[in-house]
Amino acid sequence: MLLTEKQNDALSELINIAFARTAAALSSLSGHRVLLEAPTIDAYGIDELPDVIGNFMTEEVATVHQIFTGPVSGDALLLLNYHGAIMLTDSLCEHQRPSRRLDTSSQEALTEVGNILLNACLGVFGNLLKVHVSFSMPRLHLESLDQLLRSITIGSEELRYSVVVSTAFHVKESSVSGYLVIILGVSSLDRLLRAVEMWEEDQKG
Amino acid sequence: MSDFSNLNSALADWLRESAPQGILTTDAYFVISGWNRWMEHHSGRSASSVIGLNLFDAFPELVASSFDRFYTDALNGQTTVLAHRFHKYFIKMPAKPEYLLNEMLQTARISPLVVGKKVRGTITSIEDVSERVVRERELDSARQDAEQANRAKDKFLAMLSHDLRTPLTAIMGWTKILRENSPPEEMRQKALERIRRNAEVQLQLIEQMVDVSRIAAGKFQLQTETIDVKDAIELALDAVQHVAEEKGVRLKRVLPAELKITVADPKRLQQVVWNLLSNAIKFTPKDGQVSITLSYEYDGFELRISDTGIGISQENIGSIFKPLWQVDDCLEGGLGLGLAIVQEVVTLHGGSIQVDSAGLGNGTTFAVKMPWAAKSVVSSG
Repeated sequence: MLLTEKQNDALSELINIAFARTAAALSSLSGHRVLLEAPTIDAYGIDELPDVIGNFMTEEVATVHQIFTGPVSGDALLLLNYHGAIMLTDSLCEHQRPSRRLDTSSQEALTEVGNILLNACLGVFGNLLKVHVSFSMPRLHLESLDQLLRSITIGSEELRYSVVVSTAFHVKESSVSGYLVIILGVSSLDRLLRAVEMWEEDQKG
Repeated sequence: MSDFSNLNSALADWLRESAPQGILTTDAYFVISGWNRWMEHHSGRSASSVIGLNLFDAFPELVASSFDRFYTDALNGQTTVLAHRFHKYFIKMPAKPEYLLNEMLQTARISPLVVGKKVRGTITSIEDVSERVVRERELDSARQDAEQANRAKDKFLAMLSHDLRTPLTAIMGWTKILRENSPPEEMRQKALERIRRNAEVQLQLIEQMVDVSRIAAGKFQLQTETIDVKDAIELALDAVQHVAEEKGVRLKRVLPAELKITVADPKRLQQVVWNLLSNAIKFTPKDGQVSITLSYEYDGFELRISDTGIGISQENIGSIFKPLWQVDDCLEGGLGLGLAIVQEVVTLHGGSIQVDSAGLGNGTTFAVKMPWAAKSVVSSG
């Protein structure tokens, strides 16, 4: 909503680069061909996030969360609904039978998957901005979407925005949808979007 | 501030000496700078032997596993989680023998080592997750067993309602004929015989259920007395003779002429023989043969019941004495309780039962060995 068409195109291209790296890493890890799509990208005010994501994720969510700090700082999240998270780990980890729940080992595997994706995306943005970004250790949250968003926004006085990328993992016969969400302060978002535009110009030039 | 410094020092000591996970640190050139007690204990390499070495020279397998790139990423601020599900282990170390694993299963985390807001090296933590994984596998296996038991229960209830209803339907049908028509004497006798047989079938089903319930509750008891072995077996044979004849299965009996007295529960002994013979007849096609052989030995007697029937696959032979177990897609009916009861009765007498089959289509032999005097009279449940 906040993005111009030009910004949207450039961001899509960058996200696709990160997703291709992630897919290659997951394919190598699991021994299966993994495809990762980013059908849509948009930016929203953080207060709009519950409505945007809540339309598609009504149950408990499994979220891999990493905080990044540096000249550009914020929160990066991979959100999957709980059953999607089970299906994804089962497909990647060669489970013989469908699991009913995410046991601790599956939670760790999912954390590594999220870690790969978030590192790839934030790495691409960091390179683009030519800034050094530090990452926290990824954490997995299993809770309702409302609880998660409350815990992220609480105590933050800065006006914050979110870049929301819808994602779809394809592994073997399974297809699991989710969201990559990058929450940034207004200044970080502004800096990112300017860098994205410049990158787009350089690509054309 | 000084308290905080003391705290940091105490924390560092704890991480070095007592942390329940492995901690290894490197400088920005990947030279090992820290190696805690846990690492010494589990890797078998002392801190003094590895500190000062390049991590990838000391552990070339890290390069072979492509883990070295995560260290470069760490110097660029990235953190990496390595889950055991994908990698099994970070550095190969032996697992505790009781876990029956080839190696310790590990989850590792690689992070930048930040000092004064600058990345000065890397820090890796390694967690032994073997015990947890073993427990998860046990839980998964228990869940499978529970689901299988639940499916067996559902199947049992479906069979039970079918098997109880079938003889009742026949009884009601024949009763209706007797009440509403005035059938000729021959038909009347036939109707009464069918009603009796169907009532017997239903009684057997109910008795089997009661027996299994008694076994589960530890209240299954033998009423022993002095009996003639051959007599008990012949009574059971007589009870199944007409079933074998109707199906066209030959019943061959090899019984010694001599009489032998034993202490056993006559009703239960007949039940054992009847169950084994009924099963053999049930699973033997027309023109097949079921034979029963009784032999006397010094410490007891042996009963062998062989058939030329459908046999049992090696895959299933270990399961046949489990309550509710049935041949897949069994078309012959029955609740799958008979053999579980047979085994319990034989065991209570202090005997043993074995089954042998050369595979599907090659018949089955049950061998029951019983002592001359029953040793136990109450099931342990």
